[in-house]
Amino acid sequence: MFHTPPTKDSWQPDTSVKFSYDAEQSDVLDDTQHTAVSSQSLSDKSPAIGSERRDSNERIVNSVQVTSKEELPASLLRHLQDFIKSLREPRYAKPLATFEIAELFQRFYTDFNIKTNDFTHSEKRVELKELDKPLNNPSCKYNLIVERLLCEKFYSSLMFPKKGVPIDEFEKKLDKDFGIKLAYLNSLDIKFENLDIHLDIDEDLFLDNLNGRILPQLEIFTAERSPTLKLKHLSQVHAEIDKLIRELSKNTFHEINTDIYLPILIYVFIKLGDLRTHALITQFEFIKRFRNDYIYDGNDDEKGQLLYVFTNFEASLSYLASVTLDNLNISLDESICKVPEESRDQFLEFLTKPLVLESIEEEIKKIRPILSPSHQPSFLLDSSRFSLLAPSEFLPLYHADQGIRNISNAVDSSIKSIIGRVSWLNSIGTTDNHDPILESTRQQMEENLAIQSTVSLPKVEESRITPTSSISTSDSRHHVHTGSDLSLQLSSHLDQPETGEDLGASTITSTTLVRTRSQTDSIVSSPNAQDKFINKFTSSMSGVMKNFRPVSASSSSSSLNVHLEPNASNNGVSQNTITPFNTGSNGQSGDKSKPSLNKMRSRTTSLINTGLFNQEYSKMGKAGLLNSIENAFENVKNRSRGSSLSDHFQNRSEDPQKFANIDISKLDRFGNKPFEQLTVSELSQMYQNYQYILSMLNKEDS
Amino acid sequence: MSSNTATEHGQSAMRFAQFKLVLLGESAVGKSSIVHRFVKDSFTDSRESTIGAAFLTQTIQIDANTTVKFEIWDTAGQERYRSLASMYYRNAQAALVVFDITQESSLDKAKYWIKELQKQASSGIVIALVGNKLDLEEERKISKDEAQAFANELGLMYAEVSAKTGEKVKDCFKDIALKLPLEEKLSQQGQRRRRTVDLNQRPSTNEQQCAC
Repeated sequence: MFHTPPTKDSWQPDTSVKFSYDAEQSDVLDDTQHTAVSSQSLSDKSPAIGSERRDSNERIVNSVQVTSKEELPASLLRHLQDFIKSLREPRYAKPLATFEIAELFQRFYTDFNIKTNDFTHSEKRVELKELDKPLNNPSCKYNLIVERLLCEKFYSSLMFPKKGVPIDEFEKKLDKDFGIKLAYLNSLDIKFENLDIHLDIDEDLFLDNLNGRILPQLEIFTAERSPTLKLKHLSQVHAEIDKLIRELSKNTFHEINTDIYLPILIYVFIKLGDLRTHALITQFEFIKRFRNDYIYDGNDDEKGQLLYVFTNFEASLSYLASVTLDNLNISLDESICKVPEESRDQFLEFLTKPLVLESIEEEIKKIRPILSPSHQPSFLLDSSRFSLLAPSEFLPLYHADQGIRNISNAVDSSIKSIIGRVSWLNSIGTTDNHDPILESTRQQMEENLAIQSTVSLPKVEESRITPTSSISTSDSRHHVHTGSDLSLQLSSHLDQPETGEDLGASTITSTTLVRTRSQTDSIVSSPNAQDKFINKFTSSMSGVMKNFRPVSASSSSSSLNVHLEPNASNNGVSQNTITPFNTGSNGQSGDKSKPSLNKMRSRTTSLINTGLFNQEYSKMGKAGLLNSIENAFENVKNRSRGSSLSDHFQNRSEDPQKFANIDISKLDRFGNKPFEQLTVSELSQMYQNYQYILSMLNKEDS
Repeated sequence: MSSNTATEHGQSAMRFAQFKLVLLGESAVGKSSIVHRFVKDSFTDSRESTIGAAFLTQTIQIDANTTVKFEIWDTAGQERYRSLASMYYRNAQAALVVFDITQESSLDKAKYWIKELQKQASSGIVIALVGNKLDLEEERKISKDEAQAFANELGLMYAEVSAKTGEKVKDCFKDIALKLPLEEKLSQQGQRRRRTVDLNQRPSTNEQQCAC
């Protein structure tokens, strides 16, 4: 039903449905007036449905008659139809497990309840006189109808899934094992005393009545397809047990409490041998998953009672699954001799070891992380999830972040030491225009500018932004036609394989690169080669961060942006932050009305913080930029040379000739490899370059 | 399991909250009898509920404007079903742990349940240790001081009642009601309502994503 068959793109959904699913159910969709099964067929399929209309004072619990789909208003019926249709459309890459389908049902119940409330509020004046009758409460009634129609329609698929989904198969196996265990328990001579039942009634007489009075109720319970009505029948089983005990009791009064109900229910399940074929575990899971909780709105007592009997049911199954011969004080030797020899191993298997029903939940928990990728988009959309992280969950994020910071600091401190000697930068006048928000970007810019001035790069640099050095590969293709000046660069990577889960990060980083470059152009008007180097350097840094991604799964700025960007997109703000190709056409980068996004980014974002390349920034002009660079130099000097040298640095020479003394030919540029592709020896060489430059500069100073 | 409503009634706001209360204790200590006395104010008359004394509800007015409704869940007291009790006290906001003042062993069982509750039940659950059969004072085996000291040590409520005579039964439940986090529940109810409104207005983004 929910499996995706091969489809043709050209097919309309209806056509797909028609060809994908069994024809006997598809006709339901054909006619609006007959979308749901007819009331007659409902009655046929569900023995729980009686012929009498309930009394107006009846409660849901006691009601047998359930209203049919004809009582569902057209607008609500249409909503139900849409949901049924959506369930049948081939839209999933793999079959859904039953518990996943249940999640869809629960979402629909919530949605339907909202629509029901809207509808009933609008109709309230008309139906007010009916509201004192619980099942005449439209909201309650409609919710019950919808639960019933849906579960009726998909009952077989939900109760007995045949798609081979592992978790469903696991449940089926557990259910089958439970049935076998129940059969073995039935073969034992279990008495009241084995279950701590203290009743002054004739046990044999009670047993004789089970088949005639309790079994029919349980058969109805099994045959019913609505979870809520199943609970109703379970409640009636309790009531019938109560009634039977009272009738058989030698005393006039019996306190029927849980001390009695629970063991008696267990006793009944053991003694009614037919129940082993009733798939009780599956029934339990079905009720739990597909029950529409909104049916009980305003009927808390009834809800409580139904939940109580359901808990009794759960406790009975749990006990039966886990019980062993020892628990029942039954001798293994005596009981096993009655079992055929070929079945003895199985007998021992089931009656000396517990079946753990809770394992279903554990299995679901195990596979949820596996399933989550398919749900990841929606999960990641919710940026609030990030705020839900416990402090301990932040630790790996923090450490990964620190790792990135350390590397970037090591690199930038080296480079800043070098550019501290670049005279032409220092000759620029200062300005009072200082925006602390842009500090990180300024640092990035100063690093880029410094490298531009110190290292000359081959003109073919642009094409060398490799897929590995730039996270901006596969998804950049989405932006190729935007007219950006980076289009050509990115197009050189289009042949690279997609990185799959890196999708979000790739997009964001690539866009960052674009902005970095274009903004740099506009601000500094630097020579072409310098631009290229900025691009290369930035992409290298991006590569560094990409290399850290496996460690910091969600911790890098990129992955954080994965959380943020789609959500922002949904809220219509994404274009304000990262998307590069709108930079020329709007003022989104300067939009300060979305502070949360910037705030939520990792600190590593400062390296590529595109939100900072805004219009304000470009207005600052070169002077403002260089003023901030001046400030940065102070820090760099202290870091790289020690505070004792600060005076010296402040009084540094402005002579550009100093820099010229450095023999560039002695610097190995490693074939312009991206940073992350450098080997250890090359990194060592880089350090030697650094030492050389420093020594040259120090020499000049001295 | 609690649902709360606050309705305007004239000038004063009527406050109503429903709480789940679970009964724990050894078999035959009188759990059901206490509840039946509280609910029906009787001891041995026949029951109306289809599920006997296993599930009952009763409201209690704690002040002029505030009504608390108890949804009372009984549990099986037999030793062999002990491990199943957690299914019953799931989401309970109050627990009545009953022992028989004429049976020494029953207090030990009660102590076990209290420790279980403190380990596994909802945080903030209000636990009351209740000694039943106060009418059998002459057969008392557990001194009030001993039980009271234990309750004080663990910060629990303590009461001694007689289901048979009805002595202090209602007081016990009223004391529990007064300790329940009424304001918090009313606030939760308000939040649920607001969420419902939000659901109305929010496009079903997640749904679309999951369906893809």
